[in-house]
Amino acid sequence: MPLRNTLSSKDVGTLLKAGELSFRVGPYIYNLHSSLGQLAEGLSELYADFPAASPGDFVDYAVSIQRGGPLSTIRRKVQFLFDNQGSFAPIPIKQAYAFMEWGMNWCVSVHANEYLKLHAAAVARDGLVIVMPGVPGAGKSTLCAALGLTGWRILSDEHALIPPGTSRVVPLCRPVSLKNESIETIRAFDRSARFGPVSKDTHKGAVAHMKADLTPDCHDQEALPAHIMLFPRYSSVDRQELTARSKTESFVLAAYHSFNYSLMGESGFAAMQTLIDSVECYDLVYRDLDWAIEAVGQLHDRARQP
Amino acid sequence: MKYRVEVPGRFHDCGEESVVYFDLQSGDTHLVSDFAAHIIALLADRTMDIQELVTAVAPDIEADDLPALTEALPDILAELISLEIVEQG
Repeated sequence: MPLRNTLSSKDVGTLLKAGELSFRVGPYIYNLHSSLGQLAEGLSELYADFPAASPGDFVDYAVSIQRGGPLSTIRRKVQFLFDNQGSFAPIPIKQAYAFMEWGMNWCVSVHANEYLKLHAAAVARDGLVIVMPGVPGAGKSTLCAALGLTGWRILSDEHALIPPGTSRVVPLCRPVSLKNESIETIRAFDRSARFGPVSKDTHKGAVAHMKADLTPDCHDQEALPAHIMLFPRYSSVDRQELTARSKTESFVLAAYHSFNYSLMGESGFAAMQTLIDSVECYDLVYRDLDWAIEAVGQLHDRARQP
Repeated sequence: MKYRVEVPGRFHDCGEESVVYFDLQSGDTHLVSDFAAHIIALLADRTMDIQELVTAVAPDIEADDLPALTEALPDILAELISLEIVEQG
């Protein structure tokens, strides 16, 4: 494998300030522009190993986080711009890092309709993917982070991109977004986990992002076949269990967790058919990460038996 | 009263007790019972009244189950009408 030109060899802050920080995330090129120091720090920590874009690469998503003028400077607010257009109300400067990450998610959520997009984490081992859809707060990111820290390849914490007509998942590896108690849970789970800035008092509480490109193949672009669809749910009171679930109901639930299933119309239905036909479906209720990782590992091993 | 499905939709049948139905007209996806899916398929094929539907489903239903399903038919049709899958007229 050729040695990659990664951001670690560059001065991320200087490039960011000049609007020349461009890197590849799965099939897309992001260009980021900001003069905010906290963004440069976070990006240096979490994106250092991302492949830098080559000169002349087409930029899919041009993102800018900027102070909006004297008044916004006094109010300590910044603005998220996509293609130089303001898409959201100004946000407190201390939440800028989390907002940048959300904004980068938003770019994919509202575009990228060449794929069936599920709101799901996706992890892989032995070249096979487990897709984990879930509503915010279900515990999918916490489980995804823990799996990543125990050797699984993180394909995405947020979007499972499925090319229609296939049951494959296109990698879109970016930092894992953790909220509130999950931040300390993952810090305690693995003291070596690397985090970006903590954004406090956001509409979701405290938010921090964990470095997710932890395996040698994490930036490979080849789509990998999915073989399990797992619906994780954290519960501090319910019994921990892994149970098979109906494929039919999983179809409808996965459609519910899709960003663009309805938008795609009949082709979305056909894409979901292909995916559901190819995966085994399970519910996972967990409270203990070690137990959950063991259960997911055993499930994966069982499912890959011919 | 006659019933019909004007534009036949798409089914995804995993061989379970329910079936996914995609309504091509509305773009909506529904989770329906396998019996309701059978009714939709029959009404997509041709317009029928309740008695014709009972006759049409009879060969595919266990004789013991037929009375209960026949009794449930008006409610199933009412629900499919409320979901705008089936039209009456």
